This record gives sequence, structure tokens and C-alpha cells, in this order.
Amino acid sequence: MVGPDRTGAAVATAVTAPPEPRSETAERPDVAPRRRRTRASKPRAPRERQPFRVNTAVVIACGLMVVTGLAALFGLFLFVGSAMAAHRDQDVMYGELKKQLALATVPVNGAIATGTPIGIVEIPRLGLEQVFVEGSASEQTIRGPGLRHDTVLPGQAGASVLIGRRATFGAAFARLDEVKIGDKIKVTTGQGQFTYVVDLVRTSDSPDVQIEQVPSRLTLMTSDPAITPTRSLQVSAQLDGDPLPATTRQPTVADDLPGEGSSGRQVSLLLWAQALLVVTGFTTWTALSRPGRRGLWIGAVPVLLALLWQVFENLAVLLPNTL
Amino acid sequence: MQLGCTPRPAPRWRAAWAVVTTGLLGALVVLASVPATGPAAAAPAIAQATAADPAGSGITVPAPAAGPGATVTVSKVDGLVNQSVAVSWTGFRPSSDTRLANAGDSLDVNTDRPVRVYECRGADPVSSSECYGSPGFRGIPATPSDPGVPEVVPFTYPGQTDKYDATPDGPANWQDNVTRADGTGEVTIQVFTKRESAALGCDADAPCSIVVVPNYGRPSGATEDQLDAPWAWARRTVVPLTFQPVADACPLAGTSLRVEGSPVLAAAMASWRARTCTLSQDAVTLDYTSIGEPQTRGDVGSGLTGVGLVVDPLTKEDAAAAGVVYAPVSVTGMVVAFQIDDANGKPVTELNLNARLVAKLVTASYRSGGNPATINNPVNIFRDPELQALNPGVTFPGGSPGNHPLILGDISDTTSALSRWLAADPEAAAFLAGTPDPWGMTVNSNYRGLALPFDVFPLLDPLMSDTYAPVQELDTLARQLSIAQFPGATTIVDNGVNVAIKWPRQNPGRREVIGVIDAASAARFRLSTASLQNSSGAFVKPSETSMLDAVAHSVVGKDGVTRTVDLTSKDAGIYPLTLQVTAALSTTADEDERQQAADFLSWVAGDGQTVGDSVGQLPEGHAPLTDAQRAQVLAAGKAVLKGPPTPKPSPSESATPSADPSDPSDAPSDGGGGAPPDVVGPAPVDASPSAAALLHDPHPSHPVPEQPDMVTVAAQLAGHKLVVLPLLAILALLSLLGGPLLMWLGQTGRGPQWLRR
Repeated sequence: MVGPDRTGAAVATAVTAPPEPRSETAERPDVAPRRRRTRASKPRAPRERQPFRVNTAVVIACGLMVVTGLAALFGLFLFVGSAMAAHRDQDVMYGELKKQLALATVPVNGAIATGTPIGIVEIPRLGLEQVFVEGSASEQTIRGPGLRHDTVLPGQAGASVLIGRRATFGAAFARLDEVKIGDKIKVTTGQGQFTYVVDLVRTSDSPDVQIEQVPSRLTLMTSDPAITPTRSLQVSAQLDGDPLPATTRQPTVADDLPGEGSSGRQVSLLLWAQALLVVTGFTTWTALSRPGRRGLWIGAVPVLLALLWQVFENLAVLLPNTL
Repeated sequence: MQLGCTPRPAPRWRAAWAVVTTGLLGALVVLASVPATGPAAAAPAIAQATAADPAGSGITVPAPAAGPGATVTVSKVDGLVNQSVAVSWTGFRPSSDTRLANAGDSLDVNTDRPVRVYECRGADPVSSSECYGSPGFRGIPATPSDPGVPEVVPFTYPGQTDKYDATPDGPANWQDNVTRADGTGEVTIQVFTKRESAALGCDADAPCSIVVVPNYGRPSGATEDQLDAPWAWARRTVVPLTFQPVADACPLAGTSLRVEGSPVLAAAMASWRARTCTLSQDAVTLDYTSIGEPQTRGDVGSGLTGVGLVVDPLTKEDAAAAGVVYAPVSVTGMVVAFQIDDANGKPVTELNLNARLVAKLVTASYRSGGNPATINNPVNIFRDPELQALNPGVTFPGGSPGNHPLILGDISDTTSALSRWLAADPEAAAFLAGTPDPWGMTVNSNYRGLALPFDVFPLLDPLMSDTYAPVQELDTLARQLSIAQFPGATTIVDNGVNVAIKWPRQNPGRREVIGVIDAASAARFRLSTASLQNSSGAFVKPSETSMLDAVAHSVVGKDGVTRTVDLTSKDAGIYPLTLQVTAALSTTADEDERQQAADFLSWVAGDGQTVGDSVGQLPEGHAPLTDAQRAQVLAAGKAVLKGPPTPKPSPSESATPSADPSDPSDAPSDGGGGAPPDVVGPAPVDASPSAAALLHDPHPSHPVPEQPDMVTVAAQLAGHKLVVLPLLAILALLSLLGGPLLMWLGQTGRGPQWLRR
């Protein structure tokens, strides 16, 4: 920490004692160790400045600082923490899907439970390999790209739409705009492997274009630009080969549409926020009534962080499913 | 922030933490009002279906071994196909109970003197080991006082690997029942040909027999579980059966006419094709494949087949491509068939159903366990007050939970016809939309707002997926209904492991299956059919009269031939699920094929319309065509012979192939594509139509023209900018600057006075 600083005597005195044999005064070596020993038990020496007083300014300032802290933490969660969670989810789902593919038990028709991993989408140019799940509402796309409930499974006759995130939660489709016409998209589902060839890369507000009408089409969608989206980015590809017959799918779900947030977790958001409030209140009360307990903070901080994480995740679900 | 290692003045902390909580809530409020961006999507498309009646040549034989003066009557013994026959008996010794106390595959060990009816190999089987599914008899070891009884092995057949596997071709068809106090009793048994059971192998050259075995004991052991004992077999009555040629009558050699389409016509085509090749003039060999009508439409449109049997017409484009002309082939219908035994074990033969009850059945709306989607509903149809109100005087059984119907799992015009009937009935439509019925029952919430009409029964409730399971293939469906086996699977615990198995079949006295099949199958399997409520409010049974009445009051398509029942007509005689099966004939086919198609039509217009159960006749459950319809058949025959229409469409039939645009049958049939992605916006949808076309055609190389079809992807206006995240960042930054600034102002006394309070 403090090195052989021979000029800053005052600093050394205030913070810690330099074990400096060539100090200016002979008593220093004795004084410093003593002070260090007694520091925890003795009240701090009064400051030189005028005494600190709590007034309106302090209260408002602290409030603003807390807002800053929370916003910063939320940003940290969105751009760092959520990616960790998404990568972990992808790992788990990949393992699960691998097992199910081997057993041939991957669901391919009927009412597939929302959120079930149903296949893997790969774009070699981007080095992208993602497990995609049933349903494309915000709750599902936080784990990986989602297949819209009302579109057929890739490889089947008809239109399939996968919706993925551009900026947060691992940002599976972050570089979707780098895809070029003619690129391959490989999809593996319980029915086999399918290769699609990209024939359209566009944003939703670009001028009208003509595309070929084909039996089976896969469209990847995300939002554009990444942080402040105004439109959607669409990459559409046609199946190379013969499609399989389509199976029955489910009706349209409003939350599935690209750019929609989901209100499905509002209740859990409320409950987690309440839990956070209660724990915060309890910690504060304890800290005030029994000051000086290190143990309190050792116990409370992880709990508070875990609760914050939950609140943030549920909060993020309110954001668009393509963000 | 330094966390309480040192004591601090309490007021400062209090204030800080108060702010923590306030700030948290503030942040939540900001984020909860997140605006969304992005375009909206289109809705999915869906499509549509219809019903009949049974009969036979009976024989009564004496059954001396079963009792003095005893007789056995079998409803039909000659010229059999895969069908059900009724077997009844008189003069037998009465059983000790009024019905067998067995459920599924178990055997009753308490009721004495039951009777079993077997189908056995050969005209004179030597033991019950010759009878399909016989469980066998274990034998009784000899003791000093008893000479013992030898073992009787279960059903044996060539290629058997497991001695105890008596049902190599699916569930057994033998039937057990009791003899009533007056010495009579009856069962209905489904007769297997070699197509259904190779192990039994019955066909025109290998006769089989019906064997009626009463178990009177010796005198002990007179129960159902010992029905294969030698003492019971000794009292048997054997009635030999003969079969129609299953497939050998007209071998597919030389030229044949490829016909594909509606499974509803499968039995009629089987009967016709065994006759048409032996006609003295205009003989034609039919090569018939039973596939769904939607796919048939695609195959005709793309030229894969020259003759397709459909219910709803082709799309305008497909019809024009193949120069299609239409000819009515048969009038039949979809029926709600059932095997229900009332609370006393007696078969229910009459049932009145309205569209709402059928809607409840096909949407899995009866309660099943704790499924929240149906939690407030009756546990099955028998406990539904509406059914009881429509059928006064019937004491319905308690029934199983859910009791889901046996319905078709394929995409089919028959399903479309059924759903159109549901849609046309105001009560059923309101029920499906979510309105409770007068007794408070609501539709399964997963099906609320179901889009009508549909051409395949949608599976929307994952919790019902085990038991609400449509059956693929109409023939399989009808046979399963005939042996009274629930759809789906049940779970049993085997050695501590949960195992899903098929439901066991239900036995006479305890049956409770309901299904939607075609009228001809219901007649073939002697199933009772429900009277359905038509638009006039009358309950009408499917019969020749009611189906022809429906034809008389039908909506004719623009092609002048295809028909759908007029669901707005107030005529009281209409059977609402009547179907007219129509042949769509391509005039662009080869001349040979068109000649054969014309020969086939002349058969259809003539001798093919005699209703009866011998070879070449129209099976029971079909109604013969009216004179007007026959005239249409002959006209179509001429048009087919004439060949493709000239480039300038003439006012002939062949030139107006499209359906009435107002006809609901015109639109559907795609079944697959689902909703288009909003890639395409509201403009011509990209993949959906082509997906549909592909469904119809397994060989896409045919219809896809050289020039690929193009669709336009329309531009959409950009939405609002999503500014939540930047706003949040700005807020954080402002707070970061504002906080210390305020603090500084407060501490140095430069700010306004209230800051220092």
C-alpha cells in the first residue's frame, strides 16, 4: 500500500504507519503500531472540518446516488450478467437437447410446451450456434432464439420464424446484419438436419423487394439498431431440399411478435420487488438498531444481490423480445 | 459506500436508507412503462367435413351342447369383409349376475356361466387355441381324487415366438357376456379378415368360424377366467363363415385406372373394384389409394392423378391447371357413433346430440383431473345436464373422467364439414367463443375463441395430450371404436416404473366410447349412431332419407356439382353432416386414362348405385345418387372423353372449375403454412400459399414452374425509437452529477435555504 514515501508524513499518520526506520522523529516507530492496534475499538478522532449534518440536501443527494447505482447495476446486468445467464441456459439446453436427439424424443408436433428446446440453429459465417426454444415471447428469448408459436418447425412446409436478441441476454443475433445472401443456415430439429440458403437480408423499412415463393422458408428476426431499435432486421432463407409435411401448430400469441415485450412476469416482478423491499428494510433496521455488526453485511449483501438479480431479470422481460 | 464498521450518527443512516427504498421504487416505475416497438403479424388460416347406417344375412343354428332347445343366431355369415356381426343365443343357462364384473383386460372370477364368442381359424376348430386372442387354460394337476385337466395353450399361429402372446395383430376380438335369466344374450364381434389378422388368415379361400362357448363348469370353475377349459369348449357351437375376396378379385395387372381420395369412400371402392374388372363391357381395373381430400386436390391439380375423390372443390388455379370436371360419386355422411352401456349394463341405442355437445367433445372440455382449463366442468358427457336434458329416460353410466371422443387425426374435408356445422350453430359457436352453456359449463380455456372452420382437430391442451388423442386414418379410427377402446394411453405402474400403455378394450355391459366416423364404417361395424340436431331444431338420424333430404337442400358450388349442406335451411329432415363425395377428373390426362375414367363414371351412374352388401354394391351407409346427380355423372363422363377445354373457355362445365367464392370450402385446405411471417407485411404472403401447394404435392418438381413465383416483401414504416435504455443512462448520469452537487451546495451553504433544513 503505502511505499517508502518520505515526504507525506501527514498522510502516513492518518492512514497507516510506514515502517520506515529513517523517519524524522524517533517516536514514530512506536506510535504507529499502537495506533493500528487500537483503531477498531476507539472512536475515530473528530474531523477537522465542521461536523457533518444530515439535511435535505444530503437526503436528496443520497437518493440520487442510489438511483445511479441501481441504473448502473441494471445496465451491468443487461450487458454482462444476462449474457452469463443466457450462456448457462444455452449450455444446459444443449445438453438436454443432445440427449433427447439421441433418444429421438425431441417434440416435433402437437402442443409443444412453451420454452421447450426444440432445435439448434447454426450460421457458419457468424460462428453462431444456438439452441432455439418453442415460443418467441420475451420470457423465451432470454434463453435463446425462439420459434413463433404459429409458425411451423424448420424443415417443414411453410414459414418458420425465429426471433432472437440483438444486444442483451447473450445477444444471439447481434451480428445478424453481417449475413450475406447465399450464406447457409443449418437447422437441426427432432426431424433431422436442414440447410437453408439466405435470399434476403433487409430491415423492415427498406423499399419493397421481390423474393421467390418457396415451399419452406426460415426467417430470422431481431431488432435494429441494437440499443435503440426502430425497426426489425430480417434474414430470410429458403430450404435447400424437400420439406417435410407441416404439423399442427398453435394459434398466434401476441407476445410472440418481434419487438413486443412480455407482461407474463409482472406478478413475479412485483413479488420479487417486494421481497427486495422487505430485506432492504430489515437490513436497514438491523444496521440502525445494532450498529457495528460485520456479520449483518456478510449475510445481507449476497441476499440483496440475488434479489436484485431476480428483479432485474423480471424487469428485463418487459423489454422487447428482440432487444 | 462504507458499510458500518464504525459507529456513525444514526440519523444519517436512517435518511440514506429511506432514500434507497424510494429510489428503488422510482426505478421500477420508470421501467414498467417501457414502450414496445415492432410490426404486427397476420392471423393463421384454417379449413373443413360430414355421416350413415348398418345390416346382414342371418343364420340360426341349434346349440344342443349348450342346453336343450338352445340356438345361436349370427347376423351374417357369408361374403364377409372386415365388419361386425351380431351373435345372439337362446336357451342357454342363465348367468349368476346381470353383467360381468370385469374392466378392460381383466377377467371376472365371480360370475358363473358366462358366454364367450370367438372368431376361430377353419370351419371346425379343434380347440380354443385356434381362436384369435384366446388366453388359454392353465390346466389342473391330477390328485388322488381327481384325474386332472390338461392345459390348453393360448392362441397359436405360424411364426409365434412367445407361447403366451395371443394377440399378435392387436387387441383381441372375442367378446364375453352374460346370459340373461330368460336364457338369451348377445354380443357384437368384429370379424377380422387376413388383412386385419394375418395370424388368423381368414379370406375367400380360408374360411373361419364363429364359436360360441358357454362355461357351465364341471360344475366348479364356471367363471370367465376358465372359459378356455376343455369342459367349456365341449359345449361350443360352431358357425362357419365365408369371406369376400380381400384383394385378389381384380389383380392390378395390365392397365388400371389410378383413383385416389376420400377415405370415406374406401369401403365402396373396395366393393366396386372387385366387380368393375369383370364387367362384360366397359370393364375397368381400379387402383384405389385412400388419402385425405386436401392432398387429393393437390394431386389432381398437379396432374399426379387423373381421378381424385374429394368433398370440397379444388382451388380455381388447381382446377384450371388440370381442366377439372366434377362428378358426384356417392352421398354419405359423418356420424357420431357410440357404444354406450347404461347404468344397468344395457346398450344405449338412441342418442340425441346437438352441436354444442359435439363441440364440448371435440374440444376436450370435460374435466380431467385437476386440469385448470376444465376445472369447473362436468367430469364427462354422461354427467352433463345438457345430455340428460336431451335424452330423458336414459340412465347414463357414471363413466370415466374426461371420456374423450375418438376423432380423426388427419387433415380432412370431413372435419371441415363437422366444424362448419359447429360454426353454423349459434349455441355451439357461442360456446366455443367462451360463453358458458345454461348449466355453467365453459369450453376448455385452451380452445376459447377457436377459429372456425378447421380441417383438422386442433390439439391445444398439453395436459390432455395423453387422453385426448385423435386417431390417424379413418379405418383405424372406426376399428378402434368398434372394439370400444379409448383413444390415447393410460399410465400403469409396472415394477415401480410408470409405463404408458394403450387402454384396454371395454367389455359388453361397461362400454362408453363415442366417436366421429363415416356412416359406412358405422354400418359396417354395427355401431349405433346419434341423432344430430339440424338448423330447424329437429334431431335427425343419419339415414338414406335424411341424407338425400340434405342433398336436396344443399348449396351447390360454382362448378355446379360440388355441394355442401345448406346449414341455414329450416327443413326438418336434413341430416347436417351429410357429404357428397365428388370425383374431380382431369381432362388433361392421357386419352387411355380418360377413357377408363369415363368407364368408371358409367359404372358409378349405373349399377354402382345399388345399395347392398355383396360385391359391386354400394355398402350400407351410402345413399344412392339422385337422378339429377346421375345425369351430372354422365355429363362429366362425356366431358372427360372430349378432352381438355379449348383455350377460350366455353360455357361447359369444364370451363368453370372454380368454386363459389362465398363457399367456405374454397379457401381452406392448406393445413400447414400457418401464419405468414410478418416479413411480408400485409402484402401477398410469402411462404404460406406455396407451403400449402407443397402439402398437396409430394413431388414439388411438378407444379413449380420454370419461372419461380415471386412475392413482394413490402416496406414498413419504422416504429418509434426505443429510448428506454438511453433514458436510463441519462437518468443515472444526471443523478450522479446532481447528488454530489446538492451535497456540496448544502454543505457550503450556497444553495437555497431549504436544502439545509
